Amino acid sequence: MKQTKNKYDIIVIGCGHAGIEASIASAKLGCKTLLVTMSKDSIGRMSCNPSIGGTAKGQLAREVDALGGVMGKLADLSGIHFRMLNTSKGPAVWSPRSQNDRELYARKARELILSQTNLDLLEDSVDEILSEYSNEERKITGITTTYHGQINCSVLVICAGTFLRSLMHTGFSQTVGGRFGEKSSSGISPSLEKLGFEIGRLKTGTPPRIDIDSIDFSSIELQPGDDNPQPFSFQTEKIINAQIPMYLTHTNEKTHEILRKGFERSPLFTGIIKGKGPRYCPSVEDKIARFSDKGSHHIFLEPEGYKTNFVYVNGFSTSLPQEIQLYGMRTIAGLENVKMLRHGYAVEYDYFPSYQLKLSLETKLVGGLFHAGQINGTSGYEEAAAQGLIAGINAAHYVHNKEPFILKRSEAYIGVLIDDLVNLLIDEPYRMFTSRAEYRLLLRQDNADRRLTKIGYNIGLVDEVAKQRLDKKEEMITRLSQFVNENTIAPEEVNDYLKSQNEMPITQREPIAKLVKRSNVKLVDLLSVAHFESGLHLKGRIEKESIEQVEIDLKYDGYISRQKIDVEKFEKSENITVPESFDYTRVRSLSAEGKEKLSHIRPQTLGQASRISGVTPSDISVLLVYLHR
Amino acid sequence: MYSLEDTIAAIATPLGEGGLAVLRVSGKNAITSVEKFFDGKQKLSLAKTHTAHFGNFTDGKGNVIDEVVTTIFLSAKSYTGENVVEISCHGSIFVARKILEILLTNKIRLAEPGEFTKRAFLNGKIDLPQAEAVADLIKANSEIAQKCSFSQIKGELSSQTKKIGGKILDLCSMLELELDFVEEDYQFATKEKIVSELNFLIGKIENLLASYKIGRFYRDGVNVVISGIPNVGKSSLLNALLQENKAIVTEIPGTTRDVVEGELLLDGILFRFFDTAGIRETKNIIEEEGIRRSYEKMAAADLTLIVNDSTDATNDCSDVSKINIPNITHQRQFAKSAENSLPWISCMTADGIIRDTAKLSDFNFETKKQITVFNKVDLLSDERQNKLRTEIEHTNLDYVFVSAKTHLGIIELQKKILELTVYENGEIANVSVLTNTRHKELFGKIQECIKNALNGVSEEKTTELIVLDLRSALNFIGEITGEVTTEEILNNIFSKFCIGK
Repeated sequence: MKQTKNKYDIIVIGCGHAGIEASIASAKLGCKTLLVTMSKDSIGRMSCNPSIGGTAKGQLAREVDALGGVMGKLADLSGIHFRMLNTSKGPAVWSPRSQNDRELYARKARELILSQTNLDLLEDSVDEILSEYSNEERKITGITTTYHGQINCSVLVICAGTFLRSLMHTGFSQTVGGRFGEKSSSGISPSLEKLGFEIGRLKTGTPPRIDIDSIDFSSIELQPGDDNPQPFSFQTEKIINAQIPMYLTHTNEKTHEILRKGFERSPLFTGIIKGKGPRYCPSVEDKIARFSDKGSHHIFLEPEGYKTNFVYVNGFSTSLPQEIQLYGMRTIAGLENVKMLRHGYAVEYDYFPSYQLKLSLETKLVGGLFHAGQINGTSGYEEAAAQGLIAGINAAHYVHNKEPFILKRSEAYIGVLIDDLVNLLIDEPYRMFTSRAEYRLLLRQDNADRRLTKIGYNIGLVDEVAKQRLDKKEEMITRLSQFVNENTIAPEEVNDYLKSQNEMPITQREPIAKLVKRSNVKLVDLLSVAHFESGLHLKGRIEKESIEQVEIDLKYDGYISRQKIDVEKFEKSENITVPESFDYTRVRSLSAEGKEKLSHIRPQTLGQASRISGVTPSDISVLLVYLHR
Repeated sequence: MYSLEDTIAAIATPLGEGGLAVLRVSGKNAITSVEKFFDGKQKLSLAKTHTAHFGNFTDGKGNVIDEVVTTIFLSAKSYTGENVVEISCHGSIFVARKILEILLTNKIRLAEPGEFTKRAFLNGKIDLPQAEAVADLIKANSEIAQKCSFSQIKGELSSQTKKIGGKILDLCSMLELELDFVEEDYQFATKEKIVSELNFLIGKIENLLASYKIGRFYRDGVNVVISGIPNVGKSSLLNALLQENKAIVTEIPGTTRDVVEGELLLDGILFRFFDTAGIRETKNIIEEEGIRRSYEKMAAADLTLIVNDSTDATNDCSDVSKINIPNITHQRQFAKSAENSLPWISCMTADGIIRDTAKLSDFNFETKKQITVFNKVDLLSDERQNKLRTEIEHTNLDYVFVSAKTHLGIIELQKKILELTVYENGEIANVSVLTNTRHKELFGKIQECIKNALNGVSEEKTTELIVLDLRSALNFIGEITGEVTTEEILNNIFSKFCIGK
C-alpha cells in the first residue's frame, strides 16, 4: 500500500460500482487519483442481488466494457450462471445477465484497484468537502477526513451510493448505516447542503438471505443457465467458471396472509420511511398490497457463490419485522424449514436530484465536483458503473483542460441514462429500460464494441489489444458482407437445409444475402453450405460475432435504416444550440414552469430542452420561433 | 431572434371599397399609442376590456382623419394575448391607409403576414392545429367551411387526435412491458388483444381520413361536371341548376365548345358546375379541343352528371341497351357495363378515345361518382316515362328524371347531388373532420404505421419491431398536436396567412 499524499488530481469517494470505474478510469488517464472508502473490505460489494446485467442493464454493462471500463471483466471472472434474456425477441432487446459469486467479484475488484498505477486507496471517512470561490466560480479544493486530515485535489468525484445519512429499517427497528453491518456517512450531505445543493431522500431494499442447506430442492423448479455462457467483456474469450443453477418457487395466499399481518408494523406503510422507492423493483409487501388480486408471485432462489451457504431470495425484498419475514418464507414451497441467515431491510438515504448536474456529470454549482451512481438517484450496479466511468473520464478531462466527453442518446444507453438524469425530474430510483432508448435497434449489446471501443481508444481507456480485436472484427465483417452480397447459392446446395428449417425451397440460384433475410435461416449455416473459403475458423468468438453482425444487419435492414433516419432527424434538433446566456425569464410566452426549468437546467440544445420535464411542447415551439428569427 | 416586445399594426379587412375598414393593433403599447390619436369621451387607457368607444381619429396635430369606433381588448382576454385595439373607420382605402401611416410613425411596426396569429400562438392562446384552423377559416368560402375550421379552432381535432395517440401509447406500453420485464410474472397482452386494438385504431383513422374528402368539399367546394353527347341539354341543365342564363343554349348540336362554369350554394356548401362540350366524333378542331377539355374536367370531377335526352329516338325502351348510348360507341357494351353501373363512360373507354388521350390514359373512371340524368321528360308521355323508369330500375344507376326547361326534377337532382357528395344518412356529415392537407397526410402516415404494426403481428415479427412502428405513429401524432415541432411545420403554418390576421 502506497503512502497517502496530501495532494491528488482526483479524489473519488466510495468504492462501489461507480467509484471503481471512476477511480480506475481517471488513474488510467494519467491522473494521480485517491480512492477513499469507509471500509476497504467493501470494495466492489454487491449490496443486493449478486447479479450483473438484465434487460437494458446488460446493454449498459457491455457498453462500459466497450469503452474501457472494468465491470464486464469482473462479471466474467466471478460469474456462476449466465443467461441471455429475451432471446425469443429480436437482437435489439437481447440482454445478458449473470449471477455472480459475491466474494469473488469483490476480490477481483479489490485486486484491480490495488494493482492500478496512479491509484491510492485510503480507508477513512470524509467529514467535509472543501471549495473556494474565485473568478466568479466555486471550485473544489479538497476534503477533510476523520483520521488523515485535509487532502487537496482539483477534482472530487462522489460515488457514495446509499451511504449518505443512511438509515436501515426492519419493522420498527432502525439502524444507522448504508448496508448490513456497515456505517453511514454523515459529513458529506451537510457539506453539500451548505454549498447550496438540493437534497432528496430515496429508499431501496433488499430481501433476506437464507441457508442453502435448509432448502428442500425436491419441490422447486430448477433454472439452468445457458449452455454456452456469453461473456460480458469483448476481451473475455470464454467463460471458464463452472456454472451452477438457480431455482424458482412462488409465494401463495398463505404467505400473503402472514405478510399482511405484519403490515401494521411495516415502516413502509406506517409512514416511517419517507423516501420514495423504486416502482419497478417493489418490495414483496408492496406487491401484495398493490396487486391484491394476484395469489402468487415469483421467488427466485439465487446462491450467492460457490463456497457460501448464503442464498438470495429474489422477489422477497422486504422491511417487515424479522419474524414475519421468516414465517412468511416458511409458507413457500421448498422453504418450509428455511433458516434465515440475514433478514431483509429497507434503506433510506440522501440523494442529490440530478438536474443539478451537467451532461459531463460535473455539478453546476461547484467546478470540479462530480456526482456518480446512486447519489444521483439511480438504482442498479450497471447504471452506477456507467456514470462512474463517464465521471472518471470527465474528471480526467477537467484536470487536463479537455472538452467534456458526452455520449448522445443515439450513441449509447449511457447517453440515454445521463441525458435522462439531467433533464428529467427524477423522484424515484431511476432504472434503465430498453424502452427508454429511442434508438434501441441500433444500441444493441452485440455491437457495443463497434459503437464505443474506438471512442474509448481515442480517450485513452481502451488498450491496444482491444483496439486490434475490433479492427480485426471490422475487417472480417467487411469481408463477410462482401461475400454474402456477391455470392449466390444453388438450390441443390441449400434446399435440404431450407426444408429442415421449414422454409420454402428455392428454384434457382439466390444471393446468400437474400436468403439470410428469411426468419428461420441462419447465416452460419449458409456459410457452411456455401463453403466460405477464407481460412477462418467459424467457431472462434470474433468470427461468431462477425457473422452475427452481418446477419443482424441483413435481417433487420429495413428497420435499422429507418432508425438511422430517425437519428438524423434527432441530431438536427440536437444541433440547434441555445445560447448559454439565453434569458428565459424575458420570454413572456414561455410557461411559468418551462421558464423555471429552462433557467435551471440551461439546456445546450433545443433537443435537450425538449426533453426537460416540465417544459411543454409549446414552450419548444416558442423557443424555436425565437431562435430562428 | 423574434421579438414580442414590438407593437404591431395592420389593416385587417381586404383592401377595397367597403362599408367599413378595420385596423388591428396589438402589443404592449397598443392602447396608449392609439390613445394619442383618439379624440373621444373615454380615455382608452382606462377603458375596460371588450368595450367599444366612438370618437375621432386625428393625426395628433388636431386634424381629424375620420370618425372611428375603437374596440379595446386587454391582454388577458384578447386574441393575441396582448393588448389589442381594433379601429373601425369608414371603408375607404385612403382613410385606412392614412390611419395606419399615422400609427406606424409612433413606434408601431407593420405586422408580418400571420403575425397576429403567431403571437396568439406564442402567447399560448391557441395551439398549432388551432392556428392552422385560423388560416383555413380566413379562407373559408362557405358556411360549412367556416363551421369546420371553427370546430378545429375550438380544439376538436386536437382532442380526437390525442385520443388516438393515447390509444397507441397504451398499446406501446403494453408491448414494452413484455420487453423490459421478461423475468417478472406480469400478464402480458395477448396477440388477439393487440390485433383487436390495432384494428380498432385502423377503423378510427379510416373514418377520419374519409372525412377529409368531405372536409375538403366543405373547404374548397365540390366540382360537378355536366357531361353527355351533344344536344341532350347540358347547358340548359346548367342554367336550370344555377337559375340564370350562364351558358348559351341553341338547338344546334355542339354549341358549347369551351367549359362553362357556375357556382351554387347547396345547404351551405359550395358547388361548382362545369358545362362541357358534348362528346362525339368530330373533324372540327375546335370542337375536338372542347371534347378533350370535357374529359379533362371529368377526370378531376368529384361528381359527373351524365345527361341523356330521354326523347332520343335511339332510346327504344323495349331495348334498354339502346338508351343514351352515343352513336360512336358499341351498343353491346351497355348491358355488360350496366353491371358496373357506368354505362356511358366504359363505352367510351372501349371506344378508344380516352386511351388516346395521354393525360387520361391511366385515369380510373370507375371510381368516379355519377348521376345519370334523363332530360327533357316534359316531352315524354307518362307511359314511355314509366317504361324507361322500369328499365333503368333494373340497373343500379343513380338516376334522375328532369326537365331543364320546366325545372321539373331539379330539386330532386340537387338532393341526389348532396347525397352522393356530402350527405351521410340524409344529413350533412359531422363537421368535426379533417380539412387540412397537412393533417390528412400525417394521418395517412399514421395509418400506414399501424397497418405495418398489424402486419408485423400477423407475420409474428418480434415485439420491438412492432413497437417501432407504433412509436413512429406516435411521432406523427405529435406533429399534428404540436408535441413534435420542427421549424418546417411552423414556417409552413404561418406562411399561409396574409397581413392583418
